Amino acid sequence: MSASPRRRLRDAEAVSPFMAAMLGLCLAILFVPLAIIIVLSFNASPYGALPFEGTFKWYEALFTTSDLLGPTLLSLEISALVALNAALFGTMGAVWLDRRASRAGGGLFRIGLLSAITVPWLILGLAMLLVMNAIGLGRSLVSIYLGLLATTLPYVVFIVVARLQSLDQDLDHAARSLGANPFTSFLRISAPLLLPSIISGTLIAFMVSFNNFLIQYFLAPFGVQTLPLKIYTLIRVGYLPDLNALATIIVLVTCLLIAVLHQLGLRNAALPGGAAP
Amino acid sequence: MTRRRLLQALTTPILLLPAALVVALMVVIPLAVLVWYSFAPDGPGARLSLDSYRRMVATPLYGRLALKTLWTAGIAALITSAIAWCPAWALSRLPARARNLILLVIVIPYLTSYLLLIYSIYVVLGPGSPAMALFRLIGFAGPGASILYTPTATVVMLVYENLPLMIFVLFSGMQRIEGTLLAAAGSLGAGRWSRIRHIVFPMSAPALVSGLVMVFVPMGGAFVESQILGGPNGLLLGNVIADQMTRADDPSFGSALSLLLLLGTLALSGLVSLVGPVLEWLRSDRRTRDVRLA
Repeated sequence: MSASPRRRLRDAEAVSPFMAAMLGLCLAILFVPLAIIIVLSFNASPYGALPFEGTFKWYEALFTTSDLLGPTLLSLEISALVALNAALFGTMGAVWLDRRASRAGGGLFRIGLLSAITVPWLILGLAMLLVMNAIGLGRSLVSIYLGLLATTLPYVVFIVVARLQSLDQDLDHAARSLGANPFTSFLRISAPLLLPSIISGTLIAFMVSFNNFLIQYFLAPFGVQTLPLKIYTLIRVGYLPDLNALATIIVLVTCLLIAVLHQLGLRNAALPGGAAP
Repeated sequence: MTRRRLLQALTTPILLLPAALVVALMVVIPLAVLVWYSFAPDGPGARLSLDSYRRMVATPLYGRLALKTLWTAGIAALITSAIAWCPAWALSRLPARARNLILLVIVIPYLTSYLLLIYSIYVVLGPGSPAMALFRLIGFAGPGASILYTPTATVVMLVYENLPLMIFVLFSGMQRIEGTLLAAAGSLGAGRWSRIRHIVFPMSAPALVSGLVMVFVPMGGAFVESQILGGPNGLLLGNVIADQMTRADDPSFGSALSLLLLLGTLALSGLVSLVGPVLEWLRSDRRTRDVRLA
């Protein structure tokens, strides 16, 4: 009864054991399947059978005999190209949206971008294929490139716009009143401040494009297999030890990219003229 | 001044052009074409007709499939929110350092290819795996059976892949709830449970609704999950739509089914978002009535 207000606040804020246990359980649900795949990638049995017997042979197979390597490299190439272009065009679009857009034009652009990530990609991919067939591109690498670009642009634009809006425009105005033209002022003042958010957008665009199975499913030329398409055809065969190895590598790379994103976020918040997101 | 204006007039379209062209060509025009094709069963050049829609209504299979799809997605969305609620609340009360670390960890499966996630669930749900033994123990599956290749497996997969998103959305809503409110309620005698029920739950309800909508729409468009894990009875509308484009080669009918799916998910999402405001309105109505009576 005689608890101080601060003590009361601390009690009210405390995480109850039940809630903490639920959090632990949820993390377990999320990571047990991935952990099983990682453990099995070091297991010698080609059918995932126990007892566990350690080996690196599936990693060796991955880089020598496995047919997963080709699709992986293709996916990496396409995604790198898409991510870099999305970064360039997305940043330009974001600058337009923040600095130049009329209310109606900006609204339309936003609606278009939002549609690209809210309409289920099954439906969007199918609709893209209809248009690509109509204009003669059909299923082709160009179609894949355009489709993936359209689904990754929104992420870059929205991330960079959020950063632009938190930037102090006075910095820009100051540069301009000191005689810099708009290009110089953008390159010397805004661009360095935007860089972390542009890199974040690029990384997210890369991951989205790498993993976007549905767009690739509808737009890939017959016979060309990106990694998601390859997994899709292989997965009905059953257990795949070399896929376990590849999945382990992909999860590790994802962790690495997320760590980079986190670092960028921290620096983002510490930059002058910007509030923490 | 005029030179600067000229420069602006020149640079503005250049900034916008690439992104706008891509969005127009790959998002806006395709969605418009989808609507157009659904009215053009004999090819885009021919006379417009309602034949595809007539066929859709005439065959009860498609209506049933649409309901089953909305039902599956709805159940999966509700289970996701039920599993995510408590962890999101715990996260929102943890100290910043631990919280950020756990949020980062939760992003990992969210950004991992969902085909890999499907594959991992496929391995986990295999008949001999320990996870299946657990499912049998809690009565989720019959003895000796695996839920692999049943509609339940589809739901498990949909919940698994959307759990991180649901946690983020709930967490960002709950984070805004001030601890002082809870402390005030506590000092007025409210226990842990009644604080959750009367403060945290109502205040996080908007986040719950937007989380449900955010996972429900993509769940309605699921197709690989049901194809790989769902078995022969697990097909959803998404599978039929994909087949119309790839195997049956009937883009008009596929377009009509896509619009059915899109409008169905959007309508249901709209209804769910309306629940909150309607309840609020009913309550305020009663309050004003009470005031009038007094």
